Amino acid sequence: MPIVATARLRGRVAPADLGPGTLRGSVVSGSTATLFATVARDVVESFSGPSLCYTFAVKLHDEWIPRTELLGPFELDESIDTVAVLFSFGLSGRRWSIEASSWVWSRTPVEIWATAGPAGGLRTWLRAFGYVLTCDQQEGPEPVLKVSCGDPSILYAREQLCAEVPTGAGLSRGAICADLLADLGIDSDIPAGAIYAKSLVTDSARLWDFLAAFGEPEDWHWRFIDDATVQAYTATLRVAPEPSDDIWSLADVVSIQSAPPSESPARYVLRSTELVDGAGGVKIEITRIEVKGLFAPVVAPNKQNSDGSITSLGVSTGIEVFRTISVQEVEKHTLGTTVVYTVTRDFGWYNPRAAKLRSLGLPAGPVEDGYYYAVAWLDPDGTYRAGPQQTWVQTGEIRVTPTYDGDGTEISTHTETYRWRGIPMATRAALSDHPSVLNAAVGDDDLSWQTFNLALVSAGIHRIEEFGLAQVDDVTHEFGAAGAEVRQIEETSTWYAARSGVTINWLNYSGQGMAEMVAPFRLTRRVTTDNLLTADALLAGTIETQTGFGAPHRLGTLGVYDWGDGASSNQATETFQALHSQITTYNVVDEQTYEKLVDGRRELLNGRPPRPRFRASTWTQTVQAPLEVLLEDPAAAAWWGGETLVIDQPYVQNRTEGEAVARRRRKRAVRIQHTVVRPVCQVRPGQTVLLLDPRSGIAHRCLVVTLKETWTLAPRPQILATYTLEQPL
Amino acid sequence: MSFALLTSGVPAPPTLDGLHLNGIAADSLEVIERELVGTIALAAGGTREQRLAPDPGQPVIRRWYQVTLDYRHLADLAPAVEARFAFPGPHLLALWKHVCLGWLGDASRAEFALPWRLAPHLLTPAGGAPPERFAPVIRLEFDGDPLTLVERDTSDYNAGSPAVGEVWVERGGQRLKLESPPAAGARLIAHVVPLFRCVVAAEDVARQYRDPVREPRKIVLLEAA
Repeated sequence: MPIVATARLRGRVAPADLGPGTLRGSVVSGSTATLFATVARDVVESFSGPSLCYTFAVKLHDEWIPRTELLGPFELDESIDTVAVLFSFGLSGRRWSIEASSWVWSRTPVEIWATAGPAGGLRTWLRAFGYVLTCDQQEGPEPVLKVSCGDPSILYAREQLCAEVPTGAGLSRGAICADLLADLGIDSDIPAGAIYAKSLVTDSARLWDFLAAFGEPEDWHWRFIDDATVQAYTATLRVAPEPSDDIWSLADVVSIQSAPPSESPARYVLRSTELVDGAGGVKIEITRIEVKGLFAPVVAPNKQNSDGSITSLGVSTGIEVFRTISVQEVEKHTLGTTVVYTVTRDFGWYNPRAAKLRSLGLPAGPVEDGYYYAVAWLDPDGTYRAGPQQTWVQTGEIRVTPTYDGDGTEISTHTETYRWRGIPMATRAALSDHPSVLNAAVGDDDLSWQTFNLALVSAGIHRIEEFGLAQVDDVTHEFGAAGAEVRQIEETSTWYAARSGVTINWLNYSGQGMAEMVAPFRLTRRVTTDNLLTADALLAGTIETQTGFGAPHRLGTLGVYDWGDGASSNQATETFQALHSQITTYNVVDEQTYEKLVDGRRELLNGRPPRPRFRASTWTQTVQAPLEVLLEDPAAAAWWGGETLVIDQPYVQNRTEGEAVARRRRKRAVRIQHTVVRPVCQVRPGQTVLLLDPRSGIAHRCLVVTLKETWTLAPRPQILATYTLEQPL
Repeated sequence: MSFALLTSGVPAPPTLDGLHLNGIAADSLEVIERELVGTIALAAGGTREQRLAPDPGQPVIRRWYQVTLDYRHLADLAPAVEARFAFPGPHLLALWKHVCLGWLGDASRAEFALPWRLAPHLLTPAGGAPPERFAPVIRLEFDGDPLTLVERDTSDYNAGSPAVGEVWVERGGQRLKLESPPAAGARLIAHVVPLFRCVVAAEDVARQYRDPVREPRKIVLLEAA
């Protein structure tokens, strides 16, 4: 909760009264508020007084260790820089030998209860808890052991995190940390913190390292407040008007040692990434690849005339010159990082194909059983062309349109392919004794095609290619509950005439029966791949079913209908039907080998079996841009020169956080450090102490960063704490 | 003071493991009291005292005793003394001297613990000294009158409860109880004659024979845990 006002309650508690004192106050103006505070005298008095009693007791594996077996010293180390609290104590007795007891070297629960206070006013509290780390046993008639322990964080010190948080999940830093801890069965007491908008991949980071780095922008430090609860707290210096947590004068401390700031960087460069707002509309990126070289467009040297004669034109392909041979343009439309549309256009030198023969119906022509010669240019290789030479034209275009669902997973792709293509066309009706179809054209591939640009037909030229839609491919993905692809459907549409018996509908020049005179644009092939998934969504196999135009054939001419290309069938016309199905299974043999069974055929392969396609994460579509924050420290530059410190902090998500982190790092680096030895008191790392030493002029608030307590009971009780205090400049 | 320290002037020699060391002359009877206290000097010049916290019901200050009995000649007692030291401790030693203990009341505890069993409960002093002179004297506050002493066997002690102004001491045990808990901070003071459980000190090694007649023996005993 933010502090909106501070108040100081003062009062005096009668010394004879050992009960808690109570202070009350109320805010008079503004909305009504009452302040209420309880002062527990024993907490204060157990650490102040000219003569105090101390002791500690140890509970190991839920068993109190008898005082006769317990040796000092009890030592304890705490710091704001680590979650780990380390402590140790001594034991003596044969039953604690490492041979006799595993409690002293295995992860055994341990509690240290401290007792302190003036005679007659003792207070007992749980000073440290956790688990045994190991022990150090010394030889002797009775073993003497120093048992080292740590707080519960040691149980999780080797945990590696495996978690992802997508961009824009709306989770705060606190919620993310709480989730990660809850996965490990740890309760948490963590403030909400800022919403973490970037994506997060923990990438096998160790738990405490990750939390320390992830919480740094919030200035979070970590500690266990009980056996199963982790708390994030801020360790910042309290400034006026807030009171400090304690005031230490020379009457409270044994010694103060001070060290000046040591060499500190003059320039902090903090590197991270920030999320870039991708809502700036569609971005279009065009990439153009030009291929240049020595090239001459091909010129047709000969021409076929309408009477079938070949005339040499007396021209030939010219001298090659350095020029553009082809151009490819890729136009990519993106929204954030999502590609919404891609067009690839190809340009080059091309001369469309032309027909060598043409059918004009009756009267029947002079060629073969009624064809006429078409006019065409002939390339040096004999190919029939519609023009005298190659010209600069568009040669291809592929348009890809993906479709995404709400999570950003690509669920389908629609691909249109444009190129110079022909459309099959029959030259005669079935049973016609002459080419009966008007303006069908026969190419040099001995197939008949539709004629384009009918304006040229009067000149006898039949262009059988046109730049246009040649093929459409639709690929659809279906995903299962586990996120893996369960089915892929691949559909191909093209210009296709179903085949039929030669006596039924139409005939191509090649003699093949056609169900339609001109091939329509239609769905010609569908391949459905069903993935067989294991329980953990890995690929166990596939069933691939292919559907297309086909009909059951009969050998040779035994079928009722002859199809004109050596095949026959009892079916008159091809229909769209299932043609083929193939089952593939994958069996893992060992780590490096798997077995692939295709329709029962066995094949041993190296590596791992293929994996299914998986649903995408939404955050893969967001853009992160590098972020660099610079903090100059002119004072450090003047004192020690200009050293630069580069901090990689990937969890900083904007400039404000970056500057705060750099400032805090600088504050910790440029400070006077006091090492104070004093009797144990209630101050803990993270608190603020006003340190007073008139001898050296110290009268500053300092942040307590480390604490080391030593409780020695014999030969003389000596209970001292060594605090490290940082006084920022 | 409303009572004399009752053992002063009473000639009762020490008793070791039931043997009255009677009729032999000790050069000295030295008692060293050890208390675990630490002091630390603060930077301002003052000192803080650091003690071991007592367990609940235990006296505020627990001192540990080291006794040196330096005999020039054990005489007839030599065989009996050596026989006792032929075995390891703990040896039971009564010096027949009062030791003073203090407790602080906390308004809830009426029963307190003694660190030792009491010598008069288990032994009869030598030389015909009157046993009642060695009985505990227990009172509240420095100048309070001694409470009426009632010594009970364990079963009676457990079953009953003291009347107002009484203090019950467990005979042969280490407990005493009052009728009601002393107020918080009230001082309970007891003078008792303890029966120490001791072990032989590590320093008890040398023996110096000055002549063939005398049997010198320096006995150094430490209170055992």
